[in-house]
Amino acid sequence: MSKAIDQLKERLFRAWLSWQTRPVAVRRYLAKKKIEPGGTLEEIDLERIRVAAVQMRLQPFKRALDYVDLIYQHVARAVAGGAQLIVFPEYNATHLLGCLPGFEEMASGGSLEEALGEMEGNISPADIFRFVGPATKALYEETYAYLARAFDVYIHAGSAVLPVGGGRLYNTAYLFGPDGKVLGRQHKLHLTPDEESWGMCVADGVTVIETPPGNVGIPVCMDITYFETFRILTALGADIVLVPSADNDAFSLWKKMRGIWPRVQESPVYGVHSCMVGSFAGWEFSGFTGVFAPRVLTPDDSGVLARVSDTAGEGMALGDVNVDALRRYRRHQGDWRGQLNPELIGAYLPELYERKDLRVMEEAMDTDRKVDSSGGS
Amino acid sequence: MKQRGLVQAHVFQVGLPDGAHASLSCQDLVGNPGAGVAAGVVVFPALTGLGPLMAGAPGESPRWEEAEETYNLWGKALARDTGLFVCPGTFLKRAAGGFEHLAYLFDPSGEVVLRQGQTHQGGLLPEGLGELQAWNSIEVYSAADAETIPGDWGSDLTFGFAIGPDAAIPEVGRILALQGVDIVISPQARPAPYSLLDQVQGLWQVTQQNQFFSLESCLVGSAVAMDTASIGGATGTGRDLELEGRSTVFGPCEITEANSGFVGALSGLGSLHLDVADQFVDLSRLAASRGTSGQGLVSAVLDLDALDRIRRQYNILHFLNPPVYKEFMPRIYRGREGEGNE
Repeated sequence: MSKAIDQLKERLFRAWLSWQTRPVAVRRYLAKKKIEPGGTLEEIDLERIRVAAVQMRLQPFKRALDYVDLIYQHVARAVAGGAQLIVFPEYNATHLLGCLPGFEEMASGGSLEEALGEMEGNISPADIFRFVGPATKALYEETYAYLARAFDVYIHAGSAVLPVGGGRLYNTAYLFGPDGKVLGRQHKLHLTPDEESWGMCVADGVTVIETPPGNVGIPVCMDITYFETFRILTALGADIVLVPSADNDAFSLWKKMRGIWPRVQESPVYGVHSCMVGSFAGWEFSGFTGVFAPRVLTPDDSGVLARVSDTAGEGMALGDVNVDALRRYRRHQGDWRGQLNPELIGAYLPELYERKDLRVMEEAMDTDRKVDSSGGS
Repeated sequence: MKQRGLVQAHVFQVGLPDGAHASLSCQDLVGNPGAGVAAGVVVFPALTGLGPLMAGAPGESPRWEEAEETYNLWGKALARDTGLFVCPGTFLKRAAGGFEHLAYLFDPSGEVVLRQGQTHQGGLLPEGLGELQAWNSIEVYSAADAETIPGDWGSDLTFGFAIGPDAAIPEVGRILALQGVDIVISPQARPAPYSLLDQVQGLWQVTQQNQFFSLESCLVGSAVAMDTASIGGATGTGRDLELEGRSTVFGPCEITEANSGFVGALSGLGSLHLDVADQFVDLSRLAASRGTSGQGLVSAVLDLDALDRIRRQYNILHFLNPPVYKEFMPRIYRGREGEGNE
């Protein structure tokens, strides 16, 4: 009897969640905004593509439409600034966990995992993402599709943790075109220890999406720690790599410099980095949002075209990338493939990648992780 | 968990030929290694291995064919005298069609335990000797596998090389890391201006994405000493050049002061690399932060246990995605030939 009641409660709650996040509610809400196309795509000049990287606070929303309104505000502001392509952070839509009853109280005292550990039933963060995933997906996709169509702009919706067939969880990035359609999806290629412990899955492929403003790659956060990601993307012709991040670590310029900046130098390409900030369920996020470029394509040799100066608060970096100049540079002097020794690499990397004893002391990892969890996501 | 202890690193920044010649008497390095220090390593810059050859024949053309022998004698003597691992910089060796740019590592007994040639074109090299014959192999030296290790020094310690431009090639760093390297030795010789951002773009970031220590040793000074005619070349590529550097010891951010990734850098260059650690900084400031043509020595302690700890906590290599790389590798590493009209 008790089990039947629990099942009924769960069904009712799922229905309520589904009702809160139903696409028609999103459409009605945004229709009231009377959005006009921004006109930023009327003329596309590859020498000046304006991109916007949104730095956004992760906060729980009890009402799903509050999240929709937040995204609307960011997009409206970016379009007003002339943006043709807008990028949002990783773990986007995690705000919607706030719709779960008691979530705020549960997460306010410390880490979400600790709170879950105190509950019956051995619930993990992955279970929560699986539970809310279908509702999150519906609202997430509808919100960005509507806004991209209404403002007539390209929107990278950041990434969201969503279940895919059979309950497998992926951290997935989305790019929406100005017609509101999904132009491409990219699962995260390189997980963090937390994500691995949650049982998340990694991508088995890499996508580059051809668009009028340039060829776009959309890896996720930790993917920028690995040079391999950018080698593949640039070999596939990417001009601009859009990267959503949610870095669970205190700000350190040097730690941030391990990510997007060196990647766009070693495999010349533009990089647009959008970061989540704020405190959420025991996680502290810091930002390094900006538009990055090979140093030779920046007037002050810094490799930075625009940055959000506040590393903890919300903001937006607006920058102009010159896709034509990048292509010229790569054609004439900067193609990294011409600088490499393919015999050397072919003789070593394939075999080394396959080695299973990569100096990893696997048995020690779990123990040590609990002692000192490293940042980054 | 097995403890591996500390390694004392001594990284020279010198010019040619005087600096290398003078540094022959670096007995002071033996000193007292300090509590917990399990091994020591001395590194000289690129081309410094030619110093004895040049200094040994003032006013005359050096005997080019003796370059390797001279280098070996110098390295062996340095290693034995100091009781440390020693890389006496690099030297050039004639090879079919040109020359090789080589570095050796001597163990504390004076034996050569690792030989490495530059694997990628580029860097400050003479034109008169023909083409650089790039090596197609990268090996590492693991003291744990060695049959004879003098005393306890150097046990369970792995070295590799990244010579000149190899240091900024991420594939080289990955090959070294996947072979288990702990310390990468990087002899360098670069023309001025030398900027901090160049370093960050080079060996600093390769160090970060592979979780090892690295030792960047820079040749500096007037280009007159780089007249390659005097070391066997027909022309002097380095003529009229000023060489700058910022010899540095790098390590993973998590185990360095202020998360900077700098274990130690040549004194007298200020501490910009540390000052900026927790501030918002215009990166153009880093680009404008130059090196120096002055000589000096960077000494730093490398904590292998701390390195092991961060590797266990978050081992970057554990999260590689080989199936995806495998799919794309043939396409991205076949070179530009066959790419068609790109």
